[in-house]
Amino acid sequence: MTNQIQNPNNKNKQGQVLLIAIMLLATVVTVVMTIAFNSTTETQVAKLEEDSQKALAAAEAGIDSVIKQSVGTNIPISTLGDFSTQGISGNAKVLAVNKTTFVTPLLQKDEQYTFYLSDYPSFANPWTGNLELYLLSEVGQCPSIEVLVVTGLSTQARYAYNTCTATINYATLASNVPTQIEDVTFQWKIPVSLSITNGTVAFVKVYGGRTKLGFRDEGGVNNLPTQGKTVDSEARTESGVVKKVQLFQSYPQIPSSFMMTSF
Amino acid sequence: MKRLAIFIFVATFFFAFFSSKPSFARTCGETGCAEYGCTGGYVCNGGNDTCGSRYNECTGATNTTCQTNTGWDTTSPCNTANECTGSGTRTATWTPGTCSTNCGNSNTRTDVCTCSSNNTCPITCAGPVKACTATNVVACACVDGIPQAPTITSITPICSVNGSTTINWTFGSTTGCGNAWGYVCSARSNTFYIMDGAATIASGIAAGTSPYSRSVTLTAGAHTIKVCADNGPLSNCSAVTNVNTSIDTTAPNPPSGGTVTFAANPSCTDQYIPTYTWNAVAADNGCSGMNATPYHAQGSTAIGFSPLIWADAWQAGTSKTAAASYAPGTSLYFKVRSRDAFDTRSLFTPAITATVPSPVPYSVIHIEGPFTEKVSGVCYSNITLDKNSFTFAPTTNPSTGVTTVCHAQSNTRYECDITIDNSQGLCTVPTTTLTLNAAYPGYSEAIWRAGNACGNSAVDITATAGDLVDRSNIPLFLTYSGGSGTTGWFKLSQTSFSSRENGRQNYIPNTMSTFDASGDDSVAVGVGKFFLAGTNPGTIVQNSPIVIGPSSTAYSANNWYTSSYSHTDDITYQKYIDYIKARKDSTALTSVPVSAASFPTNGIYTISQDVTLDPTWFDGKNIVLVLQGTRATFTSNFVPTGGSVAILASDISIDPAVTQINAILIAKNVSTGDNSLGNGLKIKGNLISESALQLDRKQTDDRKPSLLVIFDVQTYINVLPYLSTSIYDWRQIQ
Repeated sequence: MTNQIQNPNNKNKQGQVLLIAIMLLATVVTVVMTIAFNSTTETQVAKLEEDSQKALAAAEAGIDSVIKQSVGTNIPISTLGDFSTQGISGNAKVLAVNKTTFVTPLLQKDEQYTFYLSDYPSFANPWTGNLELYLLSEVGQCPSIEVLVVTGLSTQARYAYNTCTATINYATLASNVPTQIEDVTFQWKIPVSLSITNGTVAFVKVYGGRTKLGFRDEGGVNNLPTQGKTVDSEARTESGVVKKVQLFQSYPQIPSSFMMTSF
Repeated sequence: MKRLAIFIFVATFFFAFFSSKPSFARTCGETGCAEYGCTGGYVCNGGNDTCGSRYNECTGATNTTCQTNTGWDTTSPCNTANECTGSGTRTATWTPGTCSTNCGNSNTRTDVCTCSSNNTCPITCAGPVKACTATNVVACACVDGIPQAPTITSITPICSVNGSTTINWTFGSTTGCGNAWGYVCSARSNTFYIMDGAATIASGIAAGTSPYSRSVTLTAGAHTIKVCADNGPLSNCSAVTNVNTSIDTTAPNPPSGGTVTFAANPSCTDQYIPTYTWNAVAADNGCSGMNATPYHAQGSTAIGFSPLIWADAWQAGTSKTAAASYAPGTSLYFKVRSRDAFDTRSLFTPAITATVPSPVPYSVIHIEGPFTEKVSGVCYSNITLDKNSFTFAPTTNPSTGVTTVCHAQSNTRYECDITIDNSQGLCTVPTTTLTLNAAYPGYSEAIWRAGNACGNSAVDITATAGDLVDRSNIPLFLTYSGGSGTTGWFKLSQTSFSSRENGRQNYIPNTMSTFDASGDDSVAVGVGKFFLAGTNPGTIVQNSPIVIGPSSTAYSANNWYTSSYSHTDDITYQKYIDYIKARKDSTALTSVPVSAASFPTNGIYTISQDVTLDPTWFDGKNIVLVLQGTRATFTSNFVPTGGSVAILASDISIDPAVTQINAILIAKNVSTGDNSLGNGLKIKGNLISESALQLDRKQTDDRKPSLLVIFDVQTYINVLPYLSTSIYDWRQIQ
């Protein structure tokens, strides 16, 4: 008798169980798929990072391999070490940059830059022209400079310039003319370009505050002498990661402390 | 018996009565002394008896001569019946009165008196005669006589301030009875009295000793004066003296015309002594006339006339001079008054003011001349100094009132002005001695020299205002000492310089000379006559100023220099050694080089031993020799032929004999040698010492620098590949 009599609530209970099961299944599937996706992405990122590091290392290795080579040297990265087996390609080249402008690295207070007005080391091809000189590349700094221009064998001419602070008494006040040279904005420039005939070398000593120095041919026509070696090195992985580094090595620089009489 | 009793009674009565004489206190009922016959003007002493009735007692009853009322004679005859007791006798002595002598009688008479009886006095008066009138009474007596007339001897003054006049007279002898006053038989009263016309103006003037004087007050006008002698009963007057008296109570006029004059004090010529002068007063306004010291003048530096400038006294003269002298500009005040003989004083004159004048100013003493520099015992003229760097502290002797101003008139001359101020009254004297006391940095002395000659000793200048001595060309000799005097000075050429010593003293003489005759150095004005010479001098980097002395007005032709600048070395000797090891190709020497073979090619050579350098090792080569922690020694001149050398060492030692090194010297410490040989040192290349250099050298000739450093850029270019670093600029472009 008991079996004959069916409770109408049983059918409802069976439907509820089914619905719950479906929902649980959907949740599990979602979780599993998310985990799987993330794992794939992380793997890809790690691979890219690895390739990036490999590329950068390869580019730097390229620089190291050519830094002591002469201008014009071009070495495939793949020839270096195990990079060929790693599928890394690219080249490291030694360049002699000749432009109408030149920007020095950042010079600290009391440092000096040796700016070549002729070829090094032969001192051939002396440069002739009017040389613009820019300074004060950082806000808050008030550098002054002293310039020694050597022309011919040993003819000297000295100049001194102040910017926002008169660090050097009786020096010429530079002109506050913000100018961008290459990718550097300079706030001041010397008021009158240096007229140079058969230049050999110039020494620029920085006083008071740090700055880069910007050199430019006044007419923007004549290239300035090469100031050092520029090594461009580019490395590419199979995955397409590319790293490109550049190193500038100046020609010999006489330290300020070895050039200024002191005792 | 009854009769006997009556008789006894009566006898007792009479006995009692007579035995009571003389008795001043009489019994009641006594009638006086009539019983003694004291009549006719004789004097009686009187009194009152016990009943109060008046009685008289004759005191002269027994006198034999004229008797004044001076009392009893001390010795007298028995004048009363009961002076003798019993019936005996006694001897009595009569003593006449004082008049008796003049009466011509003897002084005494002695006789025998009979007691209880009256006794007769037998004295006879020669005159004046007065008959005796009773028994036992002297019959003679005096007759009053007129006194003599006084004689007026003078009546003075006839002029007085108040009418007081003194009358002087004489009068006869006053001795004796019959004297100038006459005989007086009654009470005597000898006096004088003075009459002016009919009026007695003075009386009761006691007799004394002639001459006589009496002050009386007379009104102004005519007077008839006589003096009278009065002896009581009678008087007698002098002849009349006519006088016409005046009374003077009016002061004389004050003196007029007061003026003040000044005379320079001989011992202090810029002070003056005032003399106040006034007019004499011609006459008094009264009868007295002017006083013998009729003037009273006062002078003072204050309008209140205190204190006074001279003794405050009356004087006869018409001027008064101060005892002291006074400074110019001092205000003085004067006044005067007068007086007559009676000290009747006038008012002071209104005060007058006088200002002490200023003397003619002394002329300014002017001294000037050029600067002359004495260097190494030799004097050089025509030098140019910095006029603002002189210090003058002149002193003078004497200094009172003297102002001296000395200064550099220009960069080539000085001048001194000595002003002796005699307008202040300071007792200044026109002559003074000036000691210059000048100083100039870098020079041991700045002095005048005797005879204006270089070799002579220092002198001061003595000058007198107004004299005509030419002092327009007196050189001031400055002796260069270079500051300490034991070390020389250094000079740089064509370089920049960073001083390792704050406040370094490097005095440069005005008279410079080139280091040598090589032409490396110049003393051309505008180029070489600087601490940092050359046509292209660089910057002087210093924290505190390098003292180069005022002979140079600029460090260099450009005169670029920093102030309070802290310099940072971008590299040091030690860092460079490290740099060489890391990045430079170099050749390490394992033994001390002995020949040029040790340096076969251009390049960097390192060694870790001390080296005494030989220039021939480097001929024709460009070498940087690095002594790692060791010493490089120069014992002789170092002039490589055709080569460029840079020496880097921990210490560089240079022998005093070395006079030239052609190299770039870089060291932590550098010793240039002492001054024992008097040599200078020329370094052609450069000199870099990381520590402050003590320059011990001193050239014999101070005009020359003891150290000359010439920056040689060619040497730098030649060794540039070795004495250098590189700058790297790394950038990741992609």
